[in-house]
Amino acid sequence: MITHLILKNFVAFTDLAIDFSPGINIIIGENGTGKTQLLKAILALCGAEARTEDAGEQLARKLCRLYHPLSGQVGELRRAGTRGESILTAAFASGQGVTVRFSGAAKQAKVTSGAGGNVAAAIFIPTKEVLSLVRGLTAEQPDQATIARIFDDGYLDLARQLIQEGADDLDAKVQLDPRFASIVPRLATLIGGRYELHEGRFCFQVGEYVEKRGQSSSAEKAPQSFQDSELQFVPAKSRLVSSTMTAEGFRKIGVLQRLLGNGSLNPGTAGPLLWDEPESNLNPKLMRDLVLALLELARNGQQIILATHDYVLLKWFDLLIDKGKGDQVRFHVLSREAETGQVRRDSMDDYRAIEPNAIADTFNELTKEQVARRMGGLGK
Amino acid sequence: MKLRERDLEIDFTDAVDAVVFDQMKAKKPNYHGIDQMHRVDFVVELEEALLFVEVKDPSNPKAQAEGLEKFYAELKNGTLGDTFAAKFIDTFLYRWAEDLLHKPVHYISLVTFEDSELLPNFSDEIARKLPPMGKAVPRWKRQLAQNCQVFNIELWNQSFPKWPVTRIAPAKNT
Repeated sequence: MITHLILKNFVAFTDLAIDFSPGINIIIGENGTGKTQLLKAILALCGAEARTEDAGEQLARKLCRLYHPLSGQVGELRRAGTRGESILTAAFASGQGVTVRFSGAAKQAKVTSGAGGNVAAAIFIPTKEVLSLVRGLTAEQPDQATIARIFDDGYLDLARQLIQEGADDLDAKVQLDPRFASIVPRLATLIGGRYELHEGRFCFQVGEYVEKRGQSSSAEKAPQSFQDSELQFVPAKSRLVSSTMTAEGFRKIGVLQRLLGNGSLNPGTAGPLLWDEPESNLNPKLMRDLVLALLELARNGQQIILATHDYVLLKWFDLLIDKGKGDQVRFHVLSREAETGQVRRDSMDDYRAIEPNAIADTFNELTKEQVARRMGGLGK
Repeated sequence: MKLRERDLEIDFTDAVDAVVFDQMKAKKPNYHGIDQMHRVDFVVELEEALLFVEVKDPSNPKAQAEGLEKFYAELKNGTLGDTFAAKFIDTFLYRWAEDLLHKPVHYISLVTFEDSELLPNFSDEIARKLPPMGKAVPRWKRQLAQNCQVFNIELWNQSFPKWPVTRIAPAKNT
């Protein structure tokens, strides 16, 4: 769990400091305010590279794979027109900390990481879906160089996490672990089935979780299960469908299903879940249930950091948040100062305090447009 | 011309005539007299149009919890929209019977919602409940309302600078 982040003279940021909530953090900002860059910085600082013997070289390479600078050198990521080194600092709940520095001409970074507990790797879900990419990576002789040229590590890291086998008996998990019982069936209901990995490619199986009484195969694998009735995924009679044939918004939910299934996303032990624009390609009707699922993950100890410019998503969080259940949502607004061009940050715990609130502004625009069209100059 | 509904006062500065339409005190001028009919609060005559105005004040600091609960329950289950539509229709009939319906009608309501997000939805809900209920009726030659829209205080004042609304301290009983 990341508690604090400082980015100085790094990509879009001159001087940025953020305190993260252990629950849900929502980074809000217009295009070009550095939301994705912020998420990628967290991904890099949570990664194993920072704690290797040759951390300076490893982390420099990681940053290049994430941001794809033209020169291929980390120094290019230093913010142009600023003085001093780029400095990235993260503090974690485990007491760990890491600081990365590099100059504009650097090919390597200087990394200092404090002693302390382990830092769990973050999971980054980029804006575009990744399930289809998996097939390219699991091919017999994947062309790694070409893949790395097209996709930054934000995509590749996730694809690798999706391929991980892990304990994929999702049914047993649903039985045994109330954390999964409250989330996994909900996701399946949301998209009317689930994604499964078959021979290196993700396919979609129509079906639903139903409550069954008595023994089942997953209960045998889990003798400690003491429930008489249990939820079980029942596939419909229809054939498996290639993931490419399913809606892209569904595939994003599929990513969440798979990460929960193979243990990459294990609330309570996993690093922060970083999700860039969860709303992209998502049917707005799915938004409410997605927010419910995210709140449920956070209630089970999963730190979540979202980047969005969809104020409808924010409104859903505002409406569905249940402080009685310990929900903590913090909003971090990134905006660019008109005069200096610098990105500034404001953080707040109340949706209503967000300024400017584009959702209200949008609805007010609608009201005014209707007056103009139907009433002309009356009252003016 | 200033009209007042409880703690809210609107000054229709360019009105030809402005009346409290739902006057149910027999001794007052413009006594309505048919309590079986729904009624909007004000009818305002302008040079070229009529305004039907309904005022609801859920944000009144004096509003009681019970009343607010009822208000939001009715908003949610649609009865508030039904009531707003019925008020327009019955007022329209009444004005027709008075032979005072010769200008295009705008049904504009002031509802003191704090969340302006609610306004466009509620406006559309009322409009859908007014004849012809969103249907295309080739036989119709005229429309009942030119505009049907709900405003909060802020958006009302921004939209209609000539009809400023203010919240006033309640008059003391002397």
